This record gives sequence, C-alpha cells and structure tokens, in this order.
Amino acid sequence: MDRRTFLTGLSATLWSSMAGRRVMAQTMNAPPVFWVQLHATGGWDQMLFCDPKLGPRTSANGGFHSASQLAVASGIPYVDAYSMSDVTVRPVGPFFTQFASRLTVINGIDVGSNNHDVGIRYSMSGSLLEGFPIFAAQVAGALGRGRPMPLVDISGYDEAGGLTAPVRLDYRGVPEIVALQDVAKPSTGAYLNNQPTVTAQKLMSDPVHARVRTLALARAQRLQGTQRLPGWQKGLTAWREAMTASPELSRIAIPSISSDQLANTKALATMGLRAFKQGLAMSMTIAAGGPNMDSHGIPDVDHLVELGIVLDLARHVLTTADAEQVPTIIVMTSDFGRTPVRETSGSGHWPIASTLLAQSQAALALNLFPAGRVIGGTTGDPMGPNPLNTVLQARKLDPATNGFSDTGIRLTPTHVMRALRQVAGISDAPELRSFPVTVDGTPFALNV
Amino acid sequence: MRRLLVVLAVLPVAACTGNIGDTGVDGGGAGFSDIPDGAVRLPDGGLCVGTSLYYRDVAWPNVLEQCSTCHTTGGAADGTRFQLRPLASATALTQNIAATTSALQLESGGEKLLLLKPTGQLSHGGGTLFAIDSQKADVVRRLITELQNPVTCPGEEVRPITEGLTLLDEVDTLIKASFQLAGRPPTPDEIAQVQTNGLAALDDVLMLQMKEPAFYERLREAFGDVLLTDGFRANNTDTNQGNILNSVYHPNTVNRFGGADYDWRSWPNGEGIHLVEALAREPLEFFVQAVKNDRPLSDVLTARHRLLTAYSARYYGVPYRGFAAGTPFAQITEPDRYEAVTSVPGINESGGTGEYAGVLTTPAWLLRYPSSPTNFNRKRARFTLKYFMNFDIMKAAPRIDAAAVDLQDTPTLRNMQCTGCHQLLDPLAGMYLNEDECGYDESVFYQPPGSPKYSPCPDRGWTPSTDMFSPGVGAGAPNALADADRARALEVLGAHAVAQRGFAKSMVTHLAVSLWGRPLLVPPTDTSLAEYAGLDEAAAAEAAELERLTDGFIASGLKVPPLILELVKGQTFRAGNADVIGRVELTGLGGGSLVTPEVLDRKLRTALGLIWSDHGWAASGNTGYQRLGRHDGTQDAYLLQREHLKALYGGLDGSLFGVKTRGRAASSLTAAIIEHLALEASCIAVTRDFDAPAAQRKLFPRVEKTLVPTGTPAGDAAILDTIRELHQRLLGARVTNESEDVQELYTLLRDVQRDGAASSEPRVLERPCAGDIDLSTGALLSGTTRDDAYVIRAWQAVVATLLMDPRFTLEK
Repeated sequence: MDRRTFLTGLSATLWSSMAGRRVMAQTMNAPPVFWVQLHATGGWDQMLFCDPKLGPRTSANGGFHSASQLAVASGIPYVDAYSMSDVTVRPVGPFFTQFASRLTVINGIDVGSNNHDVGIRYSMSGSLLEGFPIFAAQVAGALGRGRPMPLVDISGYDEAGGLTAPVRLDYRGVPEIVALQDVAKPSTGAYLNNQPTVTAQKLMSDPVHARVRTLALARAQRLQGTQRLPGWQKGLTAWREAMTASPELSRIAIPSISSDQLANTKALATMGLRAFKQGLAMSMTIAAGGPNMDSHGIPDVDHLVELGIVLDLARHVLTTADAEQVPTIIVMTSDFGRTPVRETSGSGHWPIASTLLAQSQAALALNLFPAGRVIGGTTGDPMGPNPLNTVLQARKLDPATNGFSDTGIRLTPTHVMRALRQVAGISDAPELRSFPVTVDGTPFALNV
Repeated sequence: MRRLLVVLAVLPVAACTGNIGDTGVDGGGAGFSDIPDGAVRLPDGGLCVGTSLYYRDVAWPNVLEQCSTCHTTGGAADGTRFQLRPLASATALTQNIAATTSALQLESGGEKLLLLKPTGQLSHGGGTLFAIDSQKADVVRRLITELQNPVTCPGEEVRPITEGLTLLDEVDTLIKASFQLAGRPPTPDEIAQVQTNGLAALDDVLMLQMKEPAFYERLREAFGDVLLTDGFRANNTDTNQGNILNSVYHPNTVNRFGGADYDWRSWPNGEGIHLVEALAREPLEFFVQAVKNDRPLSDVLTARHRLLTAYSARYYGVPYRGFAAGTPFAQITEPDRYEAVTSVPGINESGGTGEYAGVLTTPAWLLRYPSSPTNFNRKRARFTLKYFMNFDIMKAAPRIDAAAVDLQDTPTLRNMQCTGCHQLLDPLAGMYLNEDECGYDESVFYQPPGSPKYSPCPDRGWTPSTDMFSPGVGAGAPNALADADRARALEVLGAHAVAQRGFAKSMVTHLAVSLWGRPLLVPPTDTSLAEYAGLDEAAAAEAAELERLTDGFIASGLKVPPLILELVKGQTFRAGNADVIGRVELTGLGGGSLVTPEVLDRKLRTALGLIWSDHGWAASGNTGYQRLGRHDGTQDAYLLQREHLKALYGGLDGSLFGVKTRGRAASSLTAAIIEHLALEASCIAVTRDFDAPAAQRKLFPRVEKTLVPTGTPAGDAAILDTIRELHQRLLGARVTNESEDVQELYTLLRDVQRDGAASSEPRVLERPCAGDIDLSTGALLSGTTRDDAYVIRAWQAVVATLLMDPRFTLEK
C-alpha cells in the first residue's frame, strides 16, 4: 500500500484529527520547507492541462482536439495536450503521469482581471495592491532574516514590499558572483602589452580587512542610532543585515553558465535549493515563459512549448529536491487563464485561473496538506461540447469541505495565499502585520 | 492625530454649507440637513461646519455608510482603491476622511469616480446606488468640494506633520543635489557661494550644474527608468534577442557587412554599436534636447522631427547636418551628436503623408511597446496614458466579473464590465493606427490606412467601429479623430496630451521618483492597520507636494530646471532627520535608498578619479567582436554592464525579458559588491593619487606617502584634516577633526601603519595596487611600487572604510 492509498483509507475521524494537528503544528512552528514560486508569465491556458474543457477547440491543430486525450493520474484529471501539427510537443502527459500524486490542483480561481500586471501581482501575492510582496517574499521576510539569500530571485516580478531584498540572479551576471565570493581577491586582470595587470593575491591583508569590516559595521550601527527617519531606518537595517550576511555567499556553489537559457535557469534553481539546504536561502521565485505563452494569435503547439518549459522547470526542481532530500513546495501560477473564445490561433485572456502546488517527497513526508487531488473547478464539461456562455466560470466551494456549493465561496488568489501562509506557518508572523490577507467569510484551507 | 484639516480659514456659514435642500429627495425619502448639531458657533453668531463634522454627520449616514458595506476589508470591493472602515472611533473618522480624499484622485473625463460610480455613470460593481440628479449625489458633490478645500473651525487646529522634522541645511542640500545631478561633490567655490548666500545661491549653482554632461545623463536615466527604451542599448541587449536592429526591416542595411543582424558588434569601428545606441536612446534624447535648448518639455510629444545621429541617418539613408547620405563617418565631426531631421521617408512618411510626434514616432518606443494582431495597439495606448498623461487605466477597474461578460458580444465595445476602461483606452489605441504592425517581431514604420501593408499582415488596417471604439484622444464623439487628421493621428495625440494637466504631473512624477530614489507612496487601504493613519498621512502629503510641484512646473512653461530646483528645495528631498524614531507619517522623506549603479559609477569617477572596469578597455580594437566600452561611453565599467555587476547590484536593464525595476535596498550581493569595490577601488586609487602632483590630487593634497603618523592626534593635524576632508569628498559628511568619525579613522590609520610596518608583509606593492601600469591601456608607468612604511596601505584601509560607509552608497 503506497502512502496515498494509505491516507485515503483513513477514517474521517482520524483524518480530521490529523488535520487538526497539522494546523496546530504549522501555526506554532514554521516547517522546514523551501518554497518556490514558479510563475508562468503571460497567462497559461489551463484548458490545455489541468482544467480541460473540450468544445472551444475543434481544429485538429488545437492542443485539445479530441476527448480521447482526457486522462486521469492519481485521481487528477488532465488533458494530454498536443497538436496534430507537431505531436512531439506533448509536455503535459509525462508531467502529470510522473507527478500527479504530489500535485494539488486548484481550479476556478477568480483573479478578477485580465490585465497582465494586475494578474501577476494578484496571483503571486494574494493582493491587488501595488507594493504587496509576493508569497516567496512573505516567506523570506518572515523566516529568512539574516540569511544571505533570503529570496533567491531568478527573474520576473519580484515585489518584496520591503520585507526583504531579493537577491536577483540575472544569469548574465552570475559568473561575477564567483568573484564576489572572495571580495579581497582582485578582479580578473588582463595582459596588456605583454604585461599582466594583476599579480596580487589579495587586495588587502586579512588582518587589515577584518579591521576595516568591523569598523564599517560599527559606523553603520552608530549612524542608525542617530538617523530617525523611517527611510533611513529601513535602508540601514537592510544594509547592515546584507553586509553582515554577505560573507556567507562564499559557501554557495555557483553554477556554470552557458548559452542555454533554460539550462541556466535550472542551474540557478539547483543553486537556490542547495543554498536553502545549507541554511543560506529561504525561498525562491522563478519566472518562465516567452512571448508565445501569451498566445494571442499563437498556435497551441507554440503555447505548449512554453508550457513545457514551465513543467520542465517544475520537474527539475522536484527531482533535484528529491535527490537532495529537501522539503520543497512549488507554487505554480500564471497571470490568469485564457478565454474559451478561440482566435484564429490561440486565445485571449480570461480571469478564471488555476494554481498548481507540487511537493517534493520530503515535503510530502511532512504531511502538510494532502496531494493528489483537485480543489475547485469551473463550469462546463471536459468532454464537451461547451457553449461559450456556459463554460469556464468559477464554481463556488463550501470551505468546510472544499466541495462544490452554490452558496459557498468563490476562490480568489487571496484565499489561496492565505491558505499557503497557514501551511508555511507565517500567518501570525509579525513581519507580515502590514500585509494582511483577509477574506470575506470562512477562509479556504488546504487541510480540509 | 488629525492632520488633514489644516486650512485655518473659517468660512461664513453660507460658504460652509451647500444647497442640498434645493434638489429632490431620492425615492421619496425625507430630506436631511447639511448643518449638523455639532456646528461651531462663531463669535459673530454664525455657524461653522468643519469638514470632519460634515463628513461624520452628513456624508457618512446619508451616502458613505452604504459604500462601506462593500468598500471595506473583506467586503465585495476589498482591494479597490477606495476603502472605508466602520465609523466607530475618531481614528476611523480620520482614516476614512483620508481614504476618501485619496479617492478623489480617481477621475474619468475630469469627473470624480466617487460621483460617477454610485450614480451609474461608470461601471460600478455595486450597481447604481442613486441618481445623478439626486440629493445624495449633491451630498457627494459637496463632500468633494469640502475635501478639496477642507475647513477647520476654531478649536480644531492640528499639529503639522513636519513638526520635529529637521531639514538639511543649504550646504548639505547642495552636497546631496550635486551628487545627484552632476555626479560629483560640490566644489569649494560652490560651497562658499551657498554658505554666503543661502538658497538663492543654491539656485544659481545648481542651474550651472544642470548644464553639465553628467546631468543630461542623469535625465536620460530618470526617464529611461520609465520608458524602458534603454533595454535596446548595446549594454542591455543580447546579441540577437530584443534587438532594435532588425533584419526584417532594411535587410540591406543591417546585413551590409555580409553578416546577420546580430553581427552588429563586429562592424568596423564599432559602427553597429554606435547605430544601436543612436536608435535606442532617441526617445530619451528628446528630453535632453528640450532641456539643452531651454524648451518646454512638451517637445517630447510635439516635436515634428526625428533625432538622428550620423549612424542612424545613414541607416535610414537621409542627409545629416548637410552631409549627404553615405558620407564616411570619419569626415563628420561628432557623428554621435543628435540632430533634428524633419523628413525620414519610408519610416515616418509614405505616399506624401507622414507623422512626427517626438517620442511617439520613434522605433525604440514603438518596438518597446509592440502591438499584435489581437492587441490592436492597446499596449501602446495604455503606456501613453500612464507615462504621459498620468493615468494608470489598470487602477481604474482592477477587477472585472467574468460571469457578467458575454464573450460572443464584443464585450470591449458593449459590456459595461469592459467599456468603462475600453471606451477611453481603445480610442487612444486607434491613434496609433498608422504604426500598426502584425506581430511582435516585425519592425514598425509609417503605413497609413489605404497604403500597402507589410505582406504577412495585409489586412492590418484599422478595425471597424463595430469591433472597437473609433480612434480619438478620449472617449466619445467630441474626442474622435477627424478624417482629415487620420494620416497624422499621433501628432494630434501628442498635441492633445501635452495640453492636459496630466502631462505636467506625469513629468513631475517621473523626475520626483528619480530624485527621491523610491517609488511613489501607495495610500494604504487596509484600515485595520496600526500604521494606517501615518501611512495615509504620508501619502496625502506626497500627493499634495506633487500637486504643488505640478502647479509650478506649469507656471514655468514646462521647463525642467526650475522644477528640479523646486524638487531639491522641497522637504521630501531635504528631510534630514526626525525628533523620534517611529514616525510613520514621515515615510518617504529623506534618504536611505541605495544609490543606483549609474550614480555610484559617477561617484567613483569623480571622487576617486577611478573607472572601475575591465582592464584594457581603452586598448580594445576596432575590428572583430568589439568590446563596448570604448564605443558606447561606458568604458566597460562593471556597474554599467548587465553582464557584469549592474543587475546583481540592483540596477535594471529595461529589456523585454529583463529587469524592469530597480532594487533600492541592499541585498547580500549588493553588500559583497560594495565591499569588493571598496577594497579594489581604494587599492587602485590611493597609490595613484599619491603619485600625482599634490595640487592635482583628489584624496591626499595635504599629506605624502612618506608621512608616518606620530601616534597622537595632536601631532598629526594634516592627517586629521585629510580624514575630515575625505568624509566630505566621499560621503558628503561635514564633520570636525574631533568627531568620532574622524578620530576612529585616525586610530585605524595609525594602528594599521604601525602593525603593518612591524609585520613581515612584503614591502612591494603588487598590481593592481602598484602604480606602475595604466590599467586602461596597459602602458607602463613609473608610479609607486613599494610601501616600505606601510603608509599607503594604511590609507587604503581608511579609504576602504569610507567606501564601505553607508553614507557612500545610500542616498543622503
């Protein structure tokens, strides 16, 4: 009997009891989880993987062109999307087959916007407000103070709301980090006119360097004692924390960088994950998706290529986390969903979205929330046909059961992020006091 | 703490009250008085109704209480920019007044959304609550007037928020401004002028600084952060991605040396790099030219020309400064100088018509905000509104109800969920109809309706009015584009935009954000926050300051230098300290933000005479794959290159898939860069400064490398003076020789010298610290290579400590 089978066989009472203990545990102590936000920039088409709806697509070149593509893995329905124009681009099936037992699919999330900026902000932070930190920054701000890389930032929207300073890793500059791991070592020199421009091993002797560093930090502390404006207080706190933590950068294994952007992103993700394992990082955010993700006028096959990149990154993080035995949870979002209305190719924006939560084996072992299930949903029939005026509207949930209820709540990113805060154990973190996520009515929880 | 009602004018009761009773009553209900019981009796017997009293006793019970059922935490309209809380306390009243005042900034067509939404004039999630001609509507009108001109009755005066705030004095203001504007510390003469004549002299000094090249570059950075067109610059783009040179367009020009379009870095003498720079920076050059030529900033949208260099002129095949197209660059002096070119056929003209509207008709702008077959220029319209008309349409209706949208009925034209925004956005999108293109990757050029379109998109004319609101400068028929103007639509749009107050305010905002070193404050909406009142007060004060600056900017004829002076002299820029820690209402005032990599690079150059860069940038060649530094003016500086430290430090590149916002708080990477910089820059600069004649030194004009500290401050006056002056030069800090800052660095110098001299460390200086080589060219020099008494290295420790002082890397 595998773990999932075992869990589903538990009695309701026992299940309820376990859930209660889980909630208590997360509230009291933050679990040792590496949180990764993986955002598909541009707006993914949820109908092509986790919320299948046949009907809008009738062309053989559509990614979901036949009801026979519908499949179920570990209880999660999905569509094995591919286009007849190139059947080799078929990323969804392998991913769901491999990872469905670790997935929690949340469908029918009302982002309330079809604008990229608003959608990204809301989906990643749980708030419509500008300046509100993304979830990974919330985790980093609450749990990662003092670490040299509280928030590993691999491109994309990285609003941190002042909670933490994201460590931005534009891969083009990553080789330079190696040089920064020993700040006393001269920058790489050159030979000019047959003369080396660098012969020194160190720019300053160790004893003198230590004196300088100590004195600089002392002066910063003294300055903070005299500067009382909020901006100075905030800036100096960040400056001092960063300067204190920066020597720890030397412990990070910096990856090699190539001309392959996806490989670079994976390498940086591995680096971030290992940094968490070393106690150097707390969370990570990754953006993925090129222009074809926002698939106006874009054939499904091209959209699936982008989706494949996102899923490939998720696969990489999960398999690396498994190999490193790091409890890792990936929060996969996009700006919003895509409309059931078909353009000549592709489709426009749609405010009803989906979020995927994917757990590593070590995270699953923590029993934070059940996986291998779908929460929420949208109107319409996966088998189709689906008239446009009835498909892809968010269905309401009863928050007591997470089952459908016409009198229940409509999920929003706020509900989801609030639930994730609960799981991450940061609901009551004083650092987040200025960034409340409040919902109308009974909150949504993943432990139900 | 109440702080909004600071207008002390006491109005007679007639002015304090409106004519509410003159209009009809909604739905047959009873009328209500606009003179509440709590009105203050004046000495002359009249009544004064303060704004807060009117709010609490008239507006709230009759209108706003109903709003608060949705516009509150957890309500149906939670997350919108109008949030109220139950009126259960004086604090709640203060916060609600602040929230309502903030909401007055939301307008459509000059009318407040506060009135338009509940009356159903604009789409409102809560539906139509009362009629536009109702008594409740009059209450809202009166409330708007009250909040715009708040009335405080006797006994209601409040403490100004700036009480307890210390401003930088004139000299410190000069120091801060000089680093910001000219990238250098002020000269002794400039300081003397300001010490003698105060703020009046500050104006004169800064006006001269604003004619220096560094200021023009600062301007480019300020507006570049907004437009993000610098994403096309040679230092920010990949070799073949996001490239402004495009082989689809003008293939013969791009491939003129037989290579593909991404080979431009290999063109002889850096011609490709010069061309990329010319095209990428053209939009920003409109801002610079307006300032250089003492023109109003409206030129950026109304200039009837392109700005080309010799390189971009040749790219387009047009004459340049009297030189015929194709003239060898060697025969042209200053070929990188931008010149106004009034006719660029094929790009901005076709079939006898054309359009030139400053930034709006530059390829960098149009390519940075591309259209698509389904976007129909809405992206361009959105950013035109946001950047040039001070209206972020995405904030007008952040939420839509998908359940109320019939996708089969052209909702952007017919459904109120959508039309609230699209009726304004889509006409502006239509104004770009002559520049429309069919995909993300094609270049753009003028192609008015009726002209042959680029072959892959032959139907890219403009969409019929049955599918989309027709082109115009705003919503409705009065704003529609006349048929006669269709061929010059962007010229019409540019002229319209600059005539709006929103243009002036947007320009003020962009410069303020740049000089203040932070984004604008966002008014809080969660009224349950303990900091709500303080944060709201700060945001309100900032909003008022921006309005003041906008008034001045308009009065000056949209000239930038007077605006900069006002910004510099304003309390946001000059705030130096507060009486106590924790005054949330002072958020956003003063410094503390990380300086940008560009400013830091300039500080290094001017304060230390150092270009922190790859060695040998000046020796790189003019053939093959060329290094950028010698061609684009960046000299391979680490802090200016994306592939070096720029993004890691916190800078942006602005490219389509790159970093679009600056990091203004230090991360561990930033800290490591600062520390590495401090050690390396001090190592390189100290030796070389000592090797210069004393009169030419930037750091050590008073001491020599042979001067060993005596061990007691009294015997080392020159050393103490030097340390004090270094504080001012590097940190802009005015300290005395007796200060702790100076004394502790003296101790450091003395101890490091003493211990180093007694140690077994080598006496020979090694490169790059040794002064025997020019690091930019590799030429051998006869500079210092020994430090027998460990004095040079002791001074290096002092300078490194100063470079690691937060005052060097945080805004003053």
